[in-house]
Amino acid sequence: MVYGGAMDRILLIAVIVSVAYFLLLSLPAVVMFGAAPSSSFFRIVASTATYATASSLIVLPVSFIVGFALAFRPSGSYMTPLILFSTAIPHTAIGILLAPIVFSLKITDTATSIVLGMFVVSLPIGVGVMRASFAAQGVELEEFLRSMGVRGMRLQWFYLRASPTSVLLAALLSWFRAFSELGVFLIVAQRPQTVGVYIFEEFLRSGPTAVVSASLVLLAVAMMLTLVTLVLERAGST
Amino acid sequence: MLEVRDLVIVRGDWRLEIGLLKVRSKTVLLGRNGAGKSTLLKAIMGLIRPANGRIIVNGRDISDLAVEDRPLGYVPQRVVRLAMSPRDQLEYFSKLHGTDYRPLISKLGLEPLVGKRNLSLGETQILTIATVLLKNPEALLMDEPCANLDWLNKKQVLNLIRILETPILYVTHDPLEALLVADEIALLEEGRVKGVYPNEARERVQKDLKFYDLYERLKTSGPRIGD
Repeated sequence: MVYGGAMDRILLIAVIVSVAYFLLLSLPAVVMFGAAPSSSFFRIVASTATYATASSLIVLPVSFIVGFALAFRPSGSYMTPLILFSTAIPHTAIGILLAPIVFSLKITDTATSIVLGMFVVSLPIGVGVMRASFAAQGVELEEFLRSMGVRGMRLQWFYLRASPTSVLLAALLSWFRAFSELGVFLIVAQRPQTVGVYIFEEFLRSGPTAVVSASLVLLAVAMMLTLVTLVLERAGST
Repeated sequence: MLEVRDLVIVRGDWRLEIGLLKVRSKTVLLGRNGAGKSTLLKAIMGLIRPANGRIIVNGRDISDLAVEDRPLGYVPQRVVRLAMSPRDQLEYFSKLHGTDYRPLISKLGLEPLVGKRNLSLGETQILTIATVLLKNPEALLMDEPCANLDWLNKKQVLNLIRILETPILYVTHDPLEALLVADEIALLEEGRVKGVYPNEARERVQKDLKFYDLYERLKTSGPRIGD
């Protein structure tokens, strides 16, 4: 744990590094291609954020239950690598695997297929964060609570109370993963347009100049979430 | 009284066998790291499934009961911190078990603890023990409850344990702790209880400890170096 002034200094350094990272990535793009804003872009950002929020609201409780099982059930340690490696599967491949479900349910190019795609790609991240958080709290807490007659969902409620920072972190990471998705949507949900699809299509149609501003916005969102995460971690450590 | 009969736990090549272990008052299970002390406590509590054996509490066989239903209290080695204030914690478990924490807290002299916000490790362990007692357990299982505590915290916890009237099976690798807590000491070696011995030295150790308690002695001693 880091307290007071030392933590504030670390936070300040994090802000400086985030801004420097942002500038380092964005300046060459701005210099080369300019930063032409698009009128429809912010509407797409808002709708993508809404889909990502809907997806995260489903991901969180599932992550909580699966993360708990992976952290404490005997077979959990065998399943953990599977969950982690599933984040590394190319997302176009996930889109192909989802295609039979999406096609048979006739939800291609709908908000439902977008939320489904977001759910599938962000679930491993949510589960991974929750599992790590539960594991850090230790099995002793569960053993103690069970010996005290606490069972079922009440057990998980105690873990939830003990790790609000991890829940928020899981929510943020899974939300941003969902927000950034492209590969799955290229296969099953190119419409309504999401941010990833928008950038991809605009790039193909008009070249890089048209999407510099969009990319910068995504970068800014990532930086903002990084800072929020740092602040949350600070809150959790003091 | 807690009785462990014909208990067998097998983990690969490793085997723990307890023919008969009776806990009448305060029995310390003394053994080295890896001797199987914690495993035995977890099996008694029902947290792990033994290959064989019966657990009997006051004449009742509880071997087939779920962990949550066993009339036992369990204090784990790692200090358990619940994300609630001491008062909320005591109130929650009082309600769960249909008891009132106030008489217990008063009896144990723990009133100052209830209103505190930031507890030390020792105070947290004391709160855990008080919480466990709200269940009115017929026997207590304590898995090195002082393992992570400094000497002053350890003394506080040991003093509390000494005044408890519930039968206790207390696990430790520390002979001094064993001598301070136990009425009887069971030595666990190579997966078996080698013998149960009465602790005849407790009062003497307690007396001698006053001499060896440097915290107390240095505070009340005369001149220091450099005076």
